[in-house]
Amino acid sequence: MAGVQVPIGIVNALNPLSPWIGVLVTLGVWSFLYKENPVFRICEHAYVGSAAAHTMVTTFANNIKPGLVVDIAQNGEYWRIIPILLGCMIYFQPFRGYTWVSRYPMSFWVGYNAGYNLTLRVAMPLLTEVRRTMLPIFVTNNGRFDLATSINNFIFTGVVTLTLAYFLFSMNVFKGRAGFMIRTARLVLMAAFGAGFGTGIANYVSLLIGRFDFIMSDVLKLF
Amino acid sequence: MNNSIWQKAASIDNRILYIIMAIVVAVPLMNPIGFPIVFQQEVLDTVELIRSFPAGTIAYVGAEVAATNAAELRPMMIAIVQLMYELGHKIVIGGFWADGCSLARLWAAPFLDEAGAVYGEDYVILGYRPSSTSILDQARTNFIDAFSDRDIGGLKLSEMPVMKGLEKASDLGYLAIMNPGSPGTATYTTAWRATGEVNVIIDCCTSGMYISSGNNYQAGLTAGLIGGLNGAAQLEQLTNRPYKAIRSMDAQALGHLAVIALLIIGNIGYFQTKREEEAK
Repeated sequence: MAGVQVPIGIVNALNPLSPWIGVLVTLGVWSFLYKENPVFRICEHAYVGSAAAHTMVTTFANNIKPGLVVDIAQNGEYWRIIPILLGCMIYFQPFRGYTWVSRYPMSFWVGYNAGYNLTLRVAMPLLTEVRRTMLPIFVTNNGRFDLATSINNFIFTGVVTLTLAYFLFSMNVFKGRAGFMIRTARLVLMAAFGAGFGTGIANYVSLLIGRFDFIMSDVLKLF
Repeated sequence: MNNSIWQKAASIDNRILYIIMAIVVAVPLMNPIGFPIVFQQEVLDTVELIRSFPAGTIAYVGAEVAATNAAELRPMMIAIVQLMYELGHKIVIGGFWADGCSLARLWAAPFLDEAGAVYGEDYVILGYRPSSTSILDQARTNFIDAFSDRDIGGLKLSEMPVMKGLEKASDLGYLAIMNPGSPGTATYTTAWRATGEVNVIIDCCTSGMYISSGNNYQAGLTAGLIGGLNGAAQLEQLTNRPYKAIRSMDAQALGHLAVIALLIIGNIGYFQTKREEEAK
């Protein structure tokens, strides 16, 4: 069934303990808020180690093992050896004199990603956003002038124009009276950074709620 | 040296601030106040959009989650898969964060099982795969082969009834992607939306991603948007399944109020101290 078989007895013995390990590690990491200490260091290193191990195990179980055992050995799909060989060639990088071997899979990978990103990531999302930015400033709805939408569109297109103007570094065209555009753009950017900082704070508060919920609800069953 | 009250306010010890935040968040979690939940049009539209798909539609849930996003994305994922199952949609859960699919098995699967969903018939969890770009690209032509024909437990996808009719990505009716960063909604937008495989992507983002997700929603790159704990609470309310998000809303509101209050106190303290020093 599972990619990596763990004796079920061990799993059952650890299950009741695992939430408490989570609580202890959370408190250990929080101890850093008071000051740097060995408990925090232990928790930090344990996290890095277990995260790396988890990624390695799941990658092996879900990809490497099915690929080698099932696809190649059982189903006889021998062409899959080619990408495996390409992948193995990357490990020649540390060997002086054979570094050139690792460049072939890297060039393949860079070429694939460059093509993929240029055609898909840039073309569709970017062009869609540009198209959606070109909004009418005078909007009519059922033959009548729609003031609210018009103001909204005016602010939206104005802010985009000002922000783009701010980043025209190589052309110093906004001098003298036109300098107000740059000053306004700076204000707009500061407002955007403030909004970004605000959502960041919200994210951290949610993180705190998540940990408290885990300790008080999932483990201690206080509510 | 005698410090004035404003000088003290401008330099409160960090440890006191941490204790204040802990109390402000923990107390309302245990004793909710019951602040009203205000619905956003985008969440109402998103729920209507999901409801517009007929029974039998195959929906893909991107479990792009980690334990750090549990407060926001756990209730969101649970509410959304419950709604999908209620509507008779087939659910395929996949993810490119190392612990995403394992967490989906811990978070969403128990609720689906409790509702009567059968694993392999009504839903499946694909398991973690590295390299989202190449796998999503391959899934455009052969979905099962892209995921090595194996689910999270090593069972063959090709033998599961839930996978019937899902040969390639374009067979998916819509996507609901938990979006805490990268890989996230942008990964799927590039791989499947830009290529025209799937036109309906619902962005279930964390509050930290709300600005960029809002831009994408406004630009029409995504068809639906549910943002942060607030969005999750609205989803729970709209689907009549109150769970952790509704309960956590009071803690979030008070936490934000505490941050605002501390910001105001700190700023007043800073300017008052400056004025006192200039007066000397």
